[in-house]
Amino acid sequence: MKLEVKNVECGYTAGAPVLRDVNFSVEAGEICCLLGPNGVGKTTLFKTVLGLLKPLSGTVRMNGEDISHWSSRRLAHSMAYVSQFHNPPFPYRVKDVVLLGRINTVGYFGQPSEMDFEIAEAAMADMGITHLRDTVYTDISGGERQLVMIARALAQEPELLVMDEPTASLDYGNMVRVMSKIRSLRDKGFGIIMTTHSPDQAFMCESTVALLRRGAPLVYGFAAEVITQENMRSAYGVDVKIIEFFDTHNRLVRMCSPLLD
Amino acid sequence: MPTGLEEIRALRREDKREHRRLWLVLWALVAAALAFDVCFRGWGYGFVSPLEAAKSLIALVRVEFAAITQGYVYTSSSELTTGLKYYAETVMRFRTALLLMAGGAVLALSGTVYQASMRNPMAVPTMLGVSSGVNLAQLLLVLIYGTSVYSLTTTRYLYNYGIAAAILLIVLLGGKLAGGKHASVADMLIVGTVINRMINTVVNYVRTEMDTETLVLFQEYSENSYNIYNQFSNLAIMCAVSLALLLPVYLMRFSYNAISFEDGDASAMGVRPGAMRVYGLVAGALLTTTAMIHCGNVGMLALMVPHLCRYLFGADFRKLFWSSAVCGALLMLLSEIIQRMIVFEEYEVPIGSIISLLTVPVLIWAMLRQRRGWE
Repeated sequence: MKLEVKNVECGYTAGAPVLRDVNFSVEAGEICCLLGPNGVGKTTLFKTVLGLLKPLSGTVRMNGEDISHWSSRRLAHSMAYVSQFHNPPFPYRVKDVVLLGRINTVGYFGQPSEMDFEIAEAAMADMGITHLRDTVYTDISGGERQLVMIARALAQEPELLVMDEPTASLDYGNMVRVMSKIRSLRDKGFGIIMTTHSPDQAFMCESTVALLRRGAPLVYGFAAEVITQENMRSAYGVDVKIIEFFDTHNRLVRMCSPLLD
Repeated sequence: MPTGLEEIRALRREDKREHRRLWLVLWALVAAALAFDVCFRGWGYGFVSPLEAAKSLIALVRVEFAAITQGYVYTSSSELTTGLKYYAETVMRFRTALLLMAGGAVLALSGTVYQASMRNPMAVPTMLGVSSGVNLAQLLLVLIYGTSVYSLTTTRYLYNYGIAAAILLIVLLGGKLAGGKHASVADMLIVGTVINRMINTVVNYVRTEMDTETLVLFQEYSENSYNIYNQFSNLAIMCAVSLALLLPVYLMRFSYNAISFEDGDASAMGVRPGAMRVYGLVAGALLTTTAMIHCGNVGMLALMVPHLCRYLFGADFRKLFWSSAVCGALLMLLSEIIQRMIVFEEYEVPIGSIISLLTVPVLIWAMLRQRRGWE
């Protein structure tokens, strides 16, 4: 699996692109973090990658094929979107929500088969939320909800997971738990694109980073190369220091710490 | 943590058994309500024995069967009337009960589809304004034809369905015009609400100008229209129209879950939500209209039943589809039974009022629950 974003110019109206010259790629077993300040166009870029928005120019290729003419069904089959959770207005239960990941396989007029149930259950087991399956989705905690959304995406059996701020509004413990699940998904061979506001998360999952900056070209590369003092200042306008140390397993850990006045 | 296939299958088996008892209770209640309705003769009049009622219904089946096959079962019609004293009224009760049950099921389903399409548990299909066409049609019919409205079946259907279709067209086109290139459901709703208001104003104004005789006729017709649509052919027409509208929803009962989520979410699941949403709105409005043509002013049932069913069976559309149909039929029947028990100085309370009264506590309860968490 390889997703390539090549020379993409994206936006809502031709002639007024929100982002231009966007180049990056994600392969199987790789995480790519999109970093950038609020309002820089992360969501727009996301919609373009997901095929919800046509690029104004350039191409988004999945395994070498341009996705701009793919049906939503085919798109859903190769990439699954994990949105920031919006509560559905109805009291869906966790198992109902996860099973919905099978919709694109069974089709509009189809009904889930025993196999679809099994895939959904396996996805729940993967995320460690089987004990929640009969609970109403809106009654569980934010961290658990995020895991449910990821389980639903897994039930789609995609090659690529596209996650919109998977740790937004999670407490520290839940954030760490969700991040370690994301790492384990990468190790299973999924390609993952996620947006985040925390450079530490990019370090945490040894990802590549596409750093979006206002009025400046995108910087793309390994986290250690992209998340630097200079780049962070030009993207966010703040001064940071990158701290490096070895943990108890003798692994190099990097963290990004702001320098306050 | 169950990871093995066996454990997963065991969970599945348990899921399937989940609502079995609830379903049994529901069907038992439907059967009991139907039996009660057919045997009950009204406050102070008492009951016909169930055995007698059953005999009459068996006779009904034989008569209808004979009518279809051109055979004969009774030597004379007097045998039917003298042998089975309660035949006529039991059959009338039975037909009305069937019509009301079908109407209740259709209304409840329309509410379920409409609320899912609107992503709003408080939405009612009458909001689109199409059902106000029924009021207008009934008004015109009463003004033009007077009491002969009771015998003009075809004309009644033409007016009701014709005006409803015309309004639907206006709402769709108006919404398209108002919204321009990016016309959305909200634009249609605004146009629908305006039309709803306009028609209600006209109907209310004309009502105040009516003489008493016409007013009574209009009220009797619009509130209790199930009394004049009590032939099997009427039931068949309502069922045919409703089933045609419901068939796509039934087939897509799994996919309809997706549009309860955000549009972006739904398309990421591989479903294009736009067309399904518009179909849900249109089908919901038309189903309610169909039920209101045949059963009277009973639209509030469409608001109440989905709430009850989501509480009892969960939000999964596949379960809601069947459970709301059965609950709708049951509640409509119960409302009619209650209605027949209440008589104020020879004036019957319309069935719509009973339903509205029943809706109030359900709505308050639903709103309290909503505050607790569901958005």
